[in-house]
Amino acid sequence: MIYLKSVLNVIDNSGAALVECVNVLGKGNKTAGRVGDRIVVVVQSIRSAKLLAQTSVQNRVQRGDVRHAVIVRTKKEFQRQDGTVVRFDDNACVLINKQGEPIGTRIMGVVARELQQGYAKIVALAPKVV
Amino acid sequence: MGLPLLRLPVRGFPVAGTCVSALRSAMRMTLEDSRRVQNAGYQLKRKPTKLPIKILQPGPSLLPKGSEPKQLLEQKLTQELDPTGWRRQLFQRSSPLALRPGDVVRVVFNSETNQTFVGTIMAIRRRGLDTSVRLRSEVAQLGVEMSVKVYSTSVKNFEFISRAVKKTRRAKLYYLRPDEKKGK
Repeated sequence: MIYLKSVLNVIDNSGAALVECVNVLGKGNKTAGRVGDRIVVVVQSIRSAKLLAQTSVQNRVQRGDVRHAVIVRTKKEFQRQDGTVVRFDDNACVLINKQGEPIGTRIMGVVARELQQGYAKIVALAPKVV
Repeated sequence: MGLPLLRLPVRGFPVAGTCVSALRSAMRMTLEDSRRVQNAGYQLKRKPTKLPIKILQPGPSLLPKGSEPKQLLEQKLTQELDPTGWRRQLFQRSSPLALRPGDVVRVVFNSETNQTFVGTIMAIRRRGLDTSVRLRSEVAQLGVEMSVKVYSTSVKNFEFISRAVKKTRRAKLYYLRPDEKKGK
């Protein structure tokens, strides 16, 4: 359940660590964002440069940047077609550009299988898919 | 107004209202007049008519006598979803094979990729065919929980990995979740 002001972890190497949601796209103004939803975020804090040695400077984001992102994990449980319910311990997202491609080149941590639709590249990059 | 005792000029109208309107038109009465007739305490003579709707008697029951339809359906579905009974055995309390909270199992799903999920049993929700288990595990240092419907056709198998180290004192191990107040 991602709304305005929700804070999410960023799990790619774009440079952002925490972002704040400012809009959930493609929904009414009262609907929560779920896994696979596109959101607009503001970068609140960035990772230290050491960890990002491999990232090219072009791809890095700054504090205060407004970017698009896709939700990859939610604390709120979501149900699948076969009745299985999945829940993660945090809210997390991956920054993307306007075309829907990830800004970073690596993804750290688990993502939900639901991203396969529309964000197959993120699923391919992720080390684990649940 | 000296109206004579009424005899029906038109036959075959079973409904009283129709009678009166037909009567009115036959006798060229005003609406007010006909009301007066209705309220005057006269009773219109009517032949007893047969009801136009036929009421049928219920047929014989399709189910065996004394059986519960809900139970029968459940039995039938159990036969379909769990013919060998292994699912039932795993989650029936009395069974020696029964899984308990704290045990670690691997769920194998019926998918092309043979997707699996390993986790500690956090809670068992026993509701007949709607029985589900909630598993919790840590994938890449992050807690993930999955609740699986035991009788779902998408579940291929439950592989038992290990028993709980000690028999747990609670049925639901929600304390496995990180403490929100403390943070991580």
